[in-house]
Amino acid sequence: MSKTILPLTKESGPPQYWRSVEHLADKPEVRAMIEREFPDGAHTIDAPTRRTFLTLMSASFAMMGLTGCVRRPEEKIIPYQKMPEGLIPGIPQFYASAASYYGEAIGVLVESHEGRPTKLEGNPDHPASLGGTLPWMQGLVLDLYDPDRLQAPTHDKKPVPFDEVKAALTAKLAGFERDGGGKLRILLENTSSPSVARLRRAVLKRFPKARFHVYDAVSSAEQRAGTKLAFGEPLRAIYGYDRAKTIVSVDADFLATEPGSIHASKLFTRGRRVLRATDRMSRLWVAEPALTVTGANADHRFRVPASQAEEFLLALGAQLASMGVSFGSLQGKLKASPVVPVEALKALADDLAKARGASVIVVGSRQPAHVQALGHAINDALGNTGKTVRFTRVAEADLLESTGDLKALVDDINKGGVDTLLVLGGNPVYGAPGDVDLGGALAKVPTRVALSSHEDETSTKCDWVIPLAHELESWGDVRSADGTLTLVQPLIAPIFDGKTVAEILALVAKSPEMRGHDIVRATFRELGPGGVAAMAAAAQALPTSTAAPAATTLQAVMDKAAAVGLASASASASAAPAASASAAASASGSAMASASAPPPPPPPPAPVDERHDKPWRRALHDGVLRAQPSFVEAKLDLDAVAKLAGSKPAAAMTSSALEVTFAPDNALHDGRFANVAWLVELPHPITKTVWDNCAWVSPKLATELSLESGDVVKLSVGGRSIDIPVWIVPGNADYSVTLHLGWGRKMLGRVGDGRGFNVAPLRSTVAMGFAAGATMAKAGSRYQIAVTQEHNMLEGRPIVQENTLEGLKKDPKFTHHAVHHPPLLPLWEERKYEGHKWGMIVDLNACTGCSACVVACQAENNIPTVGKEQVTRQREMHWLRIDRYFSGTLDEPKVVNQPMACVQCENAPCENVCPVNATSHSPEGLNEMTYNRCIGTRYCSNNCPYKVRRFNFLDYHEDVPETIKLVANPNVTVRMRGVMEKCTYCVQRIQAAKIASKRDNRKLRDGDIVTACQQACPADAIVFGDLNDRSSRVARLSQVDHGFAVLEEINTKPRTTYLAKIRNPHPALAEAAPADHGKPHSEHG
Amino acid sequence: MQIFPRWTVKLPPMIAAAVALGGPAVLGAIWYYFSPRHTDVGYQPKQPVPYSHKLHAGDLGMDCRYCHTGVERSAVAMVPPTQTCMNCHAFIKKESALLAPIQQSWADGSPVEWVRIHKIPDYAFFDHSAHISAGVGCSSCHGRVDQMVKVHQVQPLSMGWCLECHRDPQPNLRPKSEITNMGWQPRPVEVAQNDPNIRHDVNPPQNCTGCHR
Repeated sequence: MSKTILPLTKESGPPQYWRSVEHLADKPEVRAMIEREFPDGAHTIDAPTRRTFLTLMSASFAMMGLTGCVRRPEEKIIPYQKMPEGLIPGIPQFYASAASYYGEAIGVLVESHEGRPTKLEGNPDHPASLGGTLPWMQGLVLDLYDPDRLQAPTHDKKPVPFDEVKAALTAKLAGFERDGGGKLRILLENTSSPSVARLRRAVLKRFPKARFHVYDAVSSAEQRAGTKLAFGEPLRAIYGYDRAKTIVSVDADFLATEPGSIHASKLFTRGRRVLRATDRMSRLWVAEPALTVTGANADHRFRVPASQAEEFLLALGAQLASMGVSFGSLQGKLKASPVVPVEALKALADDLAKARGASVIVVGSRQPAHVQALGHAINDALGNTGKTVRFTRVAEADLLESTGDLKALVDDINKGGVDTLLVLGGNPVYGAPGDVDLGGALAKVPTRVALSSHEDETSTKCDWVIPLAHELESWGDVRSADGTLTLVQPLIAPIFDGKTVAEILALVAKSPEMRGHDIVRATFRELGPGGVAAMAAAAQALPTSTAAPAATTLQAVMDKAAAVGLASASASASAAPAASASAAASASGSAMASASAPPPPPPPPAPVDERHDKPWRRALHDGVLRAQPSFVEAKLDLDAVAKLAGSKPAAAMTSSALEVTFAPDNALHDGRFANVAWLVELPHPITKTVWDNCAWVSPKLATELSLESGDVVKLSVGGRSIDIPVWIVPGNADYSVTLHLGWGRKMLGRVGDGRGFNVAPLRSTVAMGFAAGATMAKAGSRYQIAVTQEHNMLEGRPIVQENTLEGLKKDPKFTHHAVHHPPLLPLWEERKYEGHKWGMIVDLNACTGCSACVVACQAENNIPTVGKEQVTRQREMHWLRIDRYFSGTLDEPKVVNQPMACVQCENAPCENVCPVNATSHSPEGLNEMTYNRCIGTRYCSNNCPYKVRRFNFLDYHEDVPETIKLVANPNVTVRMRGVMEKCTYCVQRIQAAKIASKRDNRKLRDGDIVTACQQACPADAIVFGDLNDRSSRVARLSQVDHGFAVLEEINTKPRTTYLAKIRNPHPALAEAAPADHGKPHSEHG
Repeated sequence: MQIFPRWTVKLPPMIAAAVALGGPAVLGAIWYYFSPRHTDVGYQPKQPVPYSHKLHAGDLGMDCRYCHTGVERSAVAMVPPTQTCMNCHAFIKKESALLAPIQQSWADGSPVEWVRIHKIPDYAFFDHSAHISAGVGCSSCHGRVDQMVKVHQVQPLSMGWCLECHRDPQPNLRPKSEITNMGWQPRPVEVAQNDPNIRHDVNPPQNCTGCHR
């Protein structure tokens, strides 16, 4: 059957918005797909043979008979033996903890149901989170219950008790004491944990000649190297995206995959929220080789290959210099470049010159140090340093990677200089660049110990393997970008008896504290209030003295701080003495003094009664040790920057000398989440591909090499090559090929194995971020990629609306005449909503498209993943999808992201057609879905104009491993096969809040109910609330002039409405405003 | 020759009579015997400990909430931990053989596995605290537990039964002080309406997502 397309489209031919390359080309397959009522394969089952059919039928008949015999299965109630204090069964508890990203802390609140963590939220009090999350954070709970995690320590692949590993390791290490451990090496992941730092010092005290190495496949090492080059010491830049008027991103996906991206998203959207035409809005310029979440939000986007980023910056500098910005000794290196059109560069420079001290230039972490430094130099010349660009000192710099560290280790191994190697965390064999054969080198190390989460590429090559404790089952501490200390507390005892990195280091160091909790506790005691004081002092004392800082002094001060209620600890030992005369300031002072004096003998750890240790309990409760970020004054060394600037000009690029760029995956990061089904099945924000990665190529390159999406190619760089399918992506730089890390795992588990393609072999130590001189040749075969972008299309109608800020000023109500329709009359008398009237507003201008909400929805509502094969049949189950619309040309596309879930129509077309009343309307306007009534006719889905209903074609919860069952939200029904489902506005949260307000005898307040998507959003794009409550945020936002309802013209009266996307192009570059078709409604009759 | 014997002449009216009488009988039987009113009411499984509500709640007059502490705050009323039993039984009837499972649980940390009596389906979400705060008492759903030596189910807990009260809650609403009063009886609407001690703002949901989420 085919749909009749209503004559609502403004013009025929290619639509103004397009969803894919094929859609823009108006290919017949796409037209056919739109016109079909049901997607291809949506209602086919795997054709059963007659025999299997009979087996199934007889089995079900037998079951029918059997169930009749049992009157009622006996069900047990198993209470506690002793009840944990403060726990009320049925009421979830929230614990503050932290998740690490690039070795930095992001504060989280973990929801726990009777000791079972089920959901993660951002901690609103934590500076790196401010309540927002990223997709992978939502996936952490599923990662915790991954049944493929290592279950026990092994020796030569045979399970052994941990005590045996401990004994063997202790004996081995004792042997190193004589020679200082010259052949002992420890490989860590990036972290900023003060405990790990302290134990590292303790290990080095015991084995002065031992060496630590740090490696992560994705790290911000170049950014630190860049600040070291520019300012003389490694610093962490913190950008004031909210205060900046002009933001220039050079190859930096700061809204999604760069360090600190949640914080950045929060600030960025603050600077761009337009509710009135007079509101101020920052302007984002992005120069990048391939579309990223950040590029998708750009007002102006330039396709600049990663290797020409420096050229771009130099050209920008030259343009700025011509406008009177002074660059000192750098001036001579600046030169114009054709990489960006002159008028565009002029406009950009004009913007920057007008916003001195109020702009930001951010350079991506894969760019080499001298490009990073160049970015800082331009920021400095514009007067941004100290205003919109501020720096904090990197607190645990020893624990963060420096470039080439892994190669140094492998070289040492090959020279025979390593006897015992401890790989603590991570999977460096998988993540190592192609020119570093860590896997081969490992075989030459006599004793190899791995602390590993899975039986993976690294741990299978080690003879002793210890399970790594998940972050949600560990004690730990980690710093966030601004130095704030965050404690990590376990939500559950280690499920598989895992150990933390700190615990293993404690074993190596023969530390007096061996248990995770005691280690963190001891560090906390040592750090004192503020969590900063002693650290820098101790770091200064290294390496000549590794004595513990004067704990007694600090302890005394800390007690004093406790007495005054943890005075704001705004001091850092080395920062400018801006602190008030608080206890903390004196703490840092005394720590400095005692560290520079000859170290006193370390005092025995004083027994502390935890119940009376207020600072500890407070820090644990809040999840953040309150401290003002200690910004440092950074002094730019312009000569050093100038010396290296322009020294390595980029090679010319053609279709036979390509550039390849390596980016962390939006969901899998460096591959550590490759066994988390929610993340593997999360559509990529740009391509909407799932279950695989592909090599992104530009339309131009595809034409030149006659490639189509899905063609497998052989991609070679520097003598190494991989086979990978290509995907044509609009907006890709012509001769730049984009590759995503984290895929192509060989041994990990049931979800991740064999998914996608490992691109790490193409990297090399000198080209971790991008490499030039690559070649691409068709391999001849094709590969099927599952993609959701063409599913659920809404043909030709104005589904998303956008305008420029100027356009908005001219016509603030432009959304109201996008479609002209006769007056809409209801068929029946319309309902009155007198109590609550739930509604949602999604601000398309704030939505970055990061997709955290999609995974949050999945976690909250027990939504199954379906697998690649089912996605190709368009059976994905996500209740909330993010529709990504392109407009403009293939080369210079513009992007709008539109989160789309059930819009809860007041006149819901689905309700009228349900033969069993399984979908009905609540007095508060919810379009309810009652699973136990649904018989699966799918009429409702058929009749839904928004295509947001999802059908359980199979029993996706069948055969789910026992541990995975623990992640389910107990307040939401787990749906069976044959049942329709959809967004409910998180009705379980609505009901819980209503019941709580009745219990406490008060009215519901705005903000009592927060939907899962709203809570997860790092951009605050989603607002939910009561439209009848005039003071609620949602009611106020519903009055905004440029709001619109999707498909308003069919009178469904959706409760979810949108605020139009507003762009802020530079006046000199703005395209002609869209033709004004806005006749008043009256003229249409 | 006759193919059918003579008695077959009576067959059609006999079948008609059987259908006329038997049909309603079968329907009636299904109506009654397949409903929770028959299948669930009276369910009285054997518990691991022969705990007597009659003794504790009835004769000794202990308040329900001494053990079921979650009932005012949470969806579940909560079956008490072993610790609650031991508050008294560490001193009283220590040697009783009937209490052996409790003593053992206390000694080795294993929980006592009680058998659930009042069960609603997984897709229905009942909340005790909502009902208590509205003024629905324990005995309205659980019956005279204070008179049961061995607890059994009294009400069908079917959707129809729930809705009866959700449509017209007032007769079943009591003053806060009477929540755990086992002898309290529902009152006519006229009486309830004029009782200043009950909540009059109770508006129980009758739509699906009130219970099904």
